[in-house]
Amino acid sequence: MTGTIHIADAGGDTTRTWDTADPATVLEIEEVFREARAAGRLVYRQAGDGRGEQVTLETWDPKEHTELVVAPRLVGG
Amino acid sequence: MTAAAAVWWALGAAATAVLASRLCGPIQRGWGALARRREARLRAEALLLACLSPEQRAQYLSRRSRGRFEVTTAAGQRYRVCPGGVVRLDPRGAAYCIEAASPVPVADELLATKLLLETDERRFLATAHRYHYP
Repeated sequence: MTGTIHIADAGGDTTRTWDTADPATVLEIEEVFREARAAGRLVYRQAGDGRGEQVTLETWDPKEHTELVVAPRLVGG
Repeated sequence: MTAAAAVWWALGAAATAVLASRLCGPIQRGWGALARRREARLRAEALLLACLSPEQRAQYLSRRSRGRFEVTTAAGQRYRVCPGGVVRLDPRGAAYCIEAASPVPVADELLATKLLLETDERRFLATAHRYHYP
């Protein structure tokens, strides 16, 4: 099973992919989760009804949650 | 042509050549930066459109509310997400200012706001700066 994580950054959308058959790629995505957490950014997946749902490293299932988005950290304007 | 005129002409040509070579780099870099920014904007908008519900996508693309869409939170509260802010859609009316902490295209900011509202309205309210909206 393959998946893609979209990182909303200055480039607009930087994508990284993983393949559950290749554990190294899954470890890379886990690192993306850690970096996102350290930067105060939240990771979401798209639920069936078009709504977002927060995903953490602890709740992420690489086989089920195959489309993820790392959102930029928001602050009051 | 006199010798003096020839010298002035040669000096002018040399100065033009030096100036052109000096300006060429910055102009090229400027165009490159603009192209990268445009590419980032397009990529961010494509990501946003992929993440919006069909209704939100229609709102975002409609001529009437171009660039804006509505979000209903888990508690049933409706908000309109616009570039540069969020408006709560109830008779009391309130507006919120929220932005990305890092420089990202506007579409990425809208997406982050939509996702935060849908998943954690409390956190949104604690983060955004609220102001009165007439």
